Amino acid sequence: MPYESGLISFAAFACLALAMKKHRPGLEPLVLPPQRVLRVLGWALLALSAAVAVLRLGPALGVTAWVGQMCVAAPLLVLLLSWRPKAATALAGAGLICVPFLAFL
Amino acid sequence: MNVRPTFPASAPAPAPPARALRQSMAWIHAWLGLLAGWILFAMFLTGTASYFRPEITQWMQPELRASAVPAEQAAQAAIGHLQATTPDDQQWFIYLPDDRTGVTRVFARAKPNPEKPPARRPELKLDPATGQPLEARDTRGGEHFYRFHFQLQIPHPWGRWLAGVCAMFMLAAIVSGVITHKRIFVDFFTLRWSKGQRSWLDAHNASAVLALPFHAMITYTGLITLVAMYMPWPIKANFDKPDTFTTAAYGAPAEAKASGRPAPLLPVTPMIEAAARQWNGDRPRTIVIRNPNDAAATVTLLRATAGRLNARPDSITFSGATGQQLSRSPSPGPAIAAAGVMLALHLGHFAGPALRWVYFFMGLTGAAMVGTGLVLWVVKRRKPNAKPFFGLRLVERLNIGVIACLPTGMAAYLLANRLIPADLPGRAELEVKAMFWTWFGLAVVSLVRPARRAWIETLGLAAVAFAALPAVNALTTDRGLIASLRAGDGLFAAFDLAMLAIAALCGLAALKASAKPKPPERRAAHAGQPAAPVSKPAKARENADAL
Amino acid sequence: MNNDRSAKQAAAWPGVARMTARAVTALFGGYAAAAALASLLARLLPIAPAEASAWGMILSFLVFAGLALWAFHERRLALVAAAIWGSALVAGAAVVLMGARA
Repeated sequence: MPYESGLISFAAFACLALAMKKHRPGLEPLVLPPQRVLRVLGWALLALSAAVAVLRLGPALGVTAWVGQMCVAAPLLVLLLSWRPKAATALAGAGLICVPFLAFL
Repeated sequence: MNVRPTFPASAPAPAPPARALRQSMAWIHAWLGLLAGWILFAMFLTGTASYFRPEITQWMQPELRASAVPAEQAAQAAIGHLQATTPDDQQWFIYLPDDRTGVTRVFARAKPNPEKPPARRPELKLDPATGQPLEARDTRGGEHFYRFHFQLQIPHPWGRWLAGVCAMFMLAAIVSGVITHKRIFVDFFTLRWSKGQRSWLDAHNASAVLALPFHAMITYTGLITLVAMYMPWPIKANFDKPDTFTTAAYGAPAEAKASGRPAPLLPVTPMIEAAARQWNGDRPRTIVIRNPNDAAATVTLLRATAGRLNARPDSITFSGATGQQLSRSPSPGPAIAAAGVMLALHLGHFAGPALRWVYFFMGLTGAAMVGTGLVLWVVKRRKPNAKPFFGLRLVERLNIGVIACLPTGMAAYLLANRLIPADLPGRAELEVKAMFWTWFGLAVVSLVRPARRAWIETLGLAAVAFAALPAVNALTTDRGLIASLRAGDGLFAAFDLAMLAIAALCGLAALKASAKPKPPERRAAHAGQPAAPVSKPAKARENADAL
Repeated sequence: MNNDRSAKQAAAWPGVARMTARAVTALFGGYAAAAALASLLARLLPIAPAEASAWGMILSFLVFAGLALWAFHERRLALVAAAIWGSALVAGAAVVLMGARA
């Protein structure tokens, strides 16, 4: 299933959210990287999710699938972040770990 | 309505331009959403279901089991049936099966007969392998949701015009909403629960902003799907006859007259293979045969659009008598191609199973955006200590009638499919009636309950209706959840599981609506569902600016 | 000065009528203007007529949305009506006078 792009963008949005001051509280005892690092990481992951989609599906379908999966990943992250912030963060990490395995499915 | 905004009749002090723009856009955004919101919500919900149009149709004809057959075999089998039944027709349309439909559909048009116009023939479903007609219960299937999505069950052309006006309102609401929302990036990931109006605004913003590319795309491309009806004037500016435009844009139609000399129709398999060689191996999806068994017979193959981001299918026309290739559709120019891509983006036929689910969830986000916007309108205007004015009560009741009652109507349509006897005449009509009687009937009945109870009860009923679907399916067919899981029937299993998930979602919404409001908000909550916040000056100002 | 004028207009013409005129101008006038401007673009673009028509059709809804929103933003109703109905009339007349290309 070509959902790698969506999982990466989910993690990317998680980084970008946690790079904002107002979304950082409530995650103790988790130690978050500095805001700047998370911001750079978030944008890098977002670029990676685009690259993965384009490599997998070609330019036309790839961009479509990338934007589409972002449009689902972001609302899902926000829902989860507002309800269980720690679970959302953990899921973002777990999703990233799953990506290499999904790529071979 | 006593909340009619004063703009633009009077405003004493001239505001700075940016602020004035934001204010006027906020005002028009609220009106656009209010006037078109209920229809847009129904369009979003039925449109979202339509991404699974063939799957819903398959589920609604459980007698049929899809079988995978190569295009060549299905085409030849269908032609064999048509040759045996109506060889002298004017035109045959053959819709080949794919991995989503599982059956061949044929539609044959008889030669025009001035003395006695022939009765309109129904579309037939054929077994892809043998070409034998299939017997299944009469139903509109997923086609009903699809048609309602842009025709709204209103006679042609008014339903389409109304849908178009609503789509235009949506487009203007998107533009004005983006201008109004000055904290797009600051509030990008913000969603706060149990804060009354603030929460509804957060939910409206999040569902709108985070899926904004989808909302903008689906609205604009929706208008493009019917652009030839909504905006034919640029064609008329350049072409005296619309046919000339069609030819210039999509190539000449193969409309040869019958010669009257009989000639046997050649097998289509070599034509399909010849077409596949020119289409990188793609097979046709539709075959149109004009004047079969005539020397002037033509066979037009239309390329399958699955997996391709242009919904305008290429076509190749062969002579049915000689097998020679007669013409091929020209490769479109940039504008025609752009329109084809927009059409494809809207319909989503190109999407495989993975991307189809993405489309489905984006569609739900759209429904959530419209729904939260409608609820926000009410929550924002409710005064804690005042009796709700007429307009407020009207909007709230319409919100209940559409947001909470339409899902039950859709479930009733599916339930009716299983509960109406399979051989009852006119059952397809009855299924459709079941949806609207349930929807509107429930909306009327909910009027007797206080608004907050009405929300809880109608949402709870929707949960029950959707949860009943797998049970009724298991009781009335041999394709229940356990049986289909055992048989590896992915479609039927996924359908039942999806119904359970929707039931859970409706149940969760009912639970949320019934949650005891917090003490300081009790008075506000008494008048309706979730409570409006206690007004604090700072918060009030923030809210006023945000919408 | 704007205020002065709109205050005078408001006095002469009640708010409901002004709002109705504005809404009619935005909805029907906006459609007419978008159709006329898109047709003019289609007629004038120096590319194949079918392509030009398609660009006109594709862009028309954007023009419609922009005009309709502006109709509610601009305070001076007379300006709104003149601009929208005027451009519909002028562009429409130009298209009719030029006649079809094919």
